[in-house]
Amino acid sequence: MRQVSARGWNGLFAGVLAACVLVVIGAGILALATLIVASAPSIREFGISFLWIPAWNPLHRQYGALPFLYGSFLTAGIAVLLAGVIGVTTAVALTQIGVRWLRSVLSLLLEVLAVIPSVVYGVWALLVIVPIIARLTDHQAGGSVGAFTGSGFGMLAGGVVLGVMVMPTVVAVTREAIASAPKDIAEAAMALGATRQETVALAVMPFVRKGILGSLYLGLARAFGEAVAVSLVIGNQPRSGGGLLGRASTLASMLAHTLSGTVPPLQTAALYELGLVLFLIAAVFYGLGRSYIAREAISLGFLPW
Amino acid sequence: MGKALEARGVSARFNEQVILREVTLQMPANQVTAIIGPPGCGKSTFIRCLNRLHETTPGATLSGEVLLDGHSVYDMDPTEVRRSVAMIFHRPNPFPTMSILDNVAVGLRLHGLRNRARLAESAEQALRRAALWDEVKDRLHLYSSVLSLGQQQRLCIARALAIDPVVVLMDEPASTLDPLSTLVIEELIEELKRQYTIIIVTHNLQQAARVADKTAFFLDGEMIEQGTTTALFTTPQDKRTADYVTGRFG
Repeated sequence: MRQVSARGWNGLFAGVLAACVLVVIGAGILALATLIVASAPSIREFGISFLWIPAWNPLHRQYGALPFLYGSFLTAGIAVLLAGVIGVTTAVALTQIGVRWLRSVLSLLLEVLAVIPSVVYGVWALLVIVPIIARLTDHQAGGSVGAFTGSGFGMLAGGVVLGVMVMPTVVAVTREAIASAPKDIAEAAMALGATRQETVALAVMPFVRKGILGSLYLGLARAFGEAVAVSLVIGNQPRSGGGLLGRASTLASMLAHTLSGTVPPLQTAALYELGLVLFLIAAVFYGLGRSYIAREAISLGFLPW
Repeated sequence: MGKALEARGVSARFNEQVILREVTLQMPANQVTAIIGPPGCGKSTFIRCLNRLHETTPGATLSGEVLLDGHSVYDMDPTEVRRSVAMIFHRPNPFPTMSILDNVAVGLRLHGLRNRARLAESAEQALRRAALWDEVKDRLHLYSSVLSLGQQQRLCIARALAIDPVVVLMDEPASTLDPLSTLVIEELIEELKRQYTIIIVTHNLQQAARVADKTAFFLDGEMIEQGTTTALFTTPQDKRTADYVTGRFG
């Protein structure tokens, strides 16, 4: 009797678990399916060449993803470069701070940075980054950096704001990797008379290299997907080849900027296809990032003690 | 040649918790001094004070003096102290991302030696002194993880010897090893004391009796009794020592 009822509970429990899992996975599949269906007219019209058509021209009913791919890759590249250099250095520095309360306060601040809504970063960039870039590049106003006169809006501003947004992720993942580097190996280095820096280089960095790479891929995924903050500062022009200071668009910023307005059906479909491309690219980067972090854990588990 | 170490009134804490109370102990040159006592008695913390490793743990503080050949190690640069006072840990901890050869050479590299031939020569010498050379000479460029645990521990000993220390601290060096590897390590200790002063922490009384010239018994952060190993084991002065060495507790 008791066994039957226990089995009944187990069955119910398993059912609830399965339902929840189905809802989560189903939502993902549904999103992907919706994107495919909605972008069908554009896929039919342009085929795979959608990826390299270098124009977004409603007048000629020409829609291609190239300008946005260009914008996305370039801004994400700037972002990851910035976040990588500053973020990894910050993570190493944080682990070297001996004062415990200071370390906790700084870590907390970094965690808060990670949950600030992206639109806040966008407004901040609009008020701070754009004027700074404009000041540095506007020749009439005495700026001297760059070959062209810039307005401040453009690729660079987009990349910088993305970099600032991605940085907390890079710091957090790197810090985690450093913290999980084996203590006894670090002590081995210290016992040989290694200085602090030498200990980090000898006994910490070899264990966190892959973790850092993973964090950069996660950062790339986030940078690719971020829309609102970028669309506020990038200038929103669908063109490639504008350079660092030129106005541009990314896949995500284009969606945020345009989808809310009324546009012709084919353009709507093309926008959805941009979304599809974005979805796939972000998924690939995210997957790469996760697999690097996971592999790191496994290889540490294989240590012979 | 080894040099004498002396602890004078060494006390150590982690935050508010007192680990060691006023420990005074002489560790003569070219002898093996064993530190025995039940788990948590502060014996590991004690030897970590001798090479200034204790202070690298967050929250760790200490007072008192440690003299190496009459000079206070707390007046020296800690990296210099650790070059002279080497340490072997309870779990073998070779650098897993380095080859066997690099593991031994890394200390010399740290201290500025770049010449490859001389690095290889010193590494061979250290591996011979650690009684490991014959077992690894054909696979010096493999990762250290191909070695057995016992071999890894001797690799760590070779790594420590390569930078020419005068004292070798050993924190339960055989506690994770099988009986045969333990025997090899103990024979090695016997051999090494001709050139180095050795301080070994062990919870294994037989091991202390086998390898040590001098033994000190620690309990609850205090040094209860010290003396020649024979005297401490056969005619202990303190009742607590007697109880411990006869196996009544611990």
